[in-house]
This record gives sequence, C-alpha cells and structure tokens, in this order.
Amino acid sequence: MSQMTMKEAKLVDGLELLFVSAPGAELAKAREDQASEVRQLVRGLVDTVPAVVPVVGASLKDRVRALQQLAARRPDLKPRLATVFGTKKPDSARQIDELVNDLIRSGLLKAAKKKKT
Amino acid sequence: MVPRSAVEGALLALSDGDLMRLKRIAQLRSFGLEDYGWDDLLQEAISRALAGTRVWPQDVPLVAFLAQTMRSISHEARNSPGQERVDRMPAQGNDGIENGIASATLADVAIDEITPERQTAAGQALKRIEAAFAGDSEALAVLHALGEGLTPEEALVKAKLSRVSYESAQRRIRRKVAKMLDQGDLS
Repeated sequence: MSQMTMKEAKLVDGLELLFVSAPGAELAKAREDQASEVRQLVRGLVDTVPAVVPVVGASLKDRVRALQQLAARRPDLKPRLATVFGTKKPDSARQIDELVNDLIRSGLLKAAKKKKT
Repeated sequence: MVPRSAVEGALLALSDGDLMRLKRIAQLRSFGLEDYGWDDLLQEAISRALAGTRVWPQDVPLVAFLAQTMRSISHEARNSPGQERVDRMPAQGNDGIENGIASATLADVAIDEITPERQTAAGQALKRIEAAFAGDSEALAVLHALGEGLTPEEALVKAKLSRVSYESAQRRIRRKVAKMLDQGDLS
C-alpha cells in the first residue's frame, strides 16, 4: 500500500469510526465556533456550486428543474429567469435552451459531460 | 438519484455535531496529503455531491456518504502524480524513525529526499497519537485494536475491557485527538 502501511490505514479507519459513532452533543460541545466555520463552508458551496444540466438528451423538464433549483438558491437571478418563472412565460423549448446555455456560459449551471455511446 | 434540492436541504440541515463529525473525518483523511487541507477535502466532497458527479444513494446517511467520498478523494490524491515521490517511500515498521522528522510538516516530507529511514508524515501523525496515550493503557489497547481493523465488538474483547471502560477510553481518545488536531499537533 502506498504512503501508509496497512496498519496505519486501518488506524485512520478506526479513528474515523470513533468520530462517526460519537454522540453529536459530545462533538459539538464547546465547539460552536468551529461548527459555525464548517456551516459557513457548506452554505457557501450550496450557494455557488453550479447544478449539472444534462446536455445530450435532456428533457425540457430536466432543464426547467435545473433553472428552478438555481432560482431557489440565487434569488438575485430571478429577474434573469423571469422568462421561466415570472409573468413572461416561455413560448418555446428553444427559449429554455437559450437561457440554460447562457447560464452555462456564465458558470451558473454546469453542463454534464456527453455520454459515450 | 437524489435531486440536488434534497442534497442542499440535507446539507443545510446538518447539526453542529454532524458538522464537527465531518470536520474531524476530513482532518483524519487529509493526513499526509500534499495538496489537500481538511477544508479542501470536505469542499471537494460536498461539491461533487451538489454537482451530481458523485451520486448520494438515498438509503445512506449523508455524513456516511460524504465520509466515503472523502476517503475516495484522499485515495485518488495519494495515487496522483503529485504524490508520486511520497508514494515511493517504503512502508516502515515503528522503529528507526529519525527524531528530526517528527517536527517536519507533511509538505516538507513530501519534497524532501526520500530515504529508507524515513517514514511517511501520515505515519508520524499516527505515531504521535499513540505516543500521546503512552500513560493510558486502556486507550492504547483500543487504539491497537483499531489498528488491527477490528470491529468495536471484537475490539472490546481484544482490549479486555468492560463496555463502560471501553466507551470511556473511546471518549478520551476522541477528546485528545480532537485537541491535537485543533492545535495543529498532527500536521
């Protein structure tokens, strides 16, 4: 085994198990600042990691779902998404495609890799 | 497949205890990694779950899923070209470790010339944990049982401890290891 011996790797597994099985209250005790640091990290990722939108064979439903998820975590983008969620209803699937592609180019959504056939 | 909104909801609903659990696991899994700190490792695992590149099975608790993902990322990182020099270091027993290396950082060890006498930084961190329990035979017995890959039930028998003593030793190990991680004694 590279870098760690088998015994060391097992010890890390065992220590991980100790923390996995620990009562939550024990872990959180007197660690509010640290928990808050991790919560901040999680919150930041939820807000910024782009959703994956299937590119090939994606249904209109899948694309609309991706836009809904984006709108849910980025209220500031709602005006931009008005064609889908606002009073202006999309008049075609093409309009949804254009919006999704535009958002992928902006980095707000992420295109899924083309599946190998 | 769990939809992204469910992954987001579960992440945001994690308790303080679960967040600390994830941090401790990330700290342990980043032992000896050149390019990943604990926060990088946790961030990568969460990003994969959110982006859907790593699929969260509905029947697995989120913390267990993220722990498994961090384990995979850690394994990938250990076997990446950037870790090549470290990977070539021969696995050593517990003897013959130079005193000087104990205070070296993980990164220092990664870029140092590799000599047969030197053990990995990850191994050093684990040795420091064992050394910290030199005066606590019960905790040491539990640590040794963990190092043998025993289940908790097997470890309890092997360590020849009552359940109360065993659980108490586990708590002491968690407390001390957490303190060492927080104080940077293991990096």
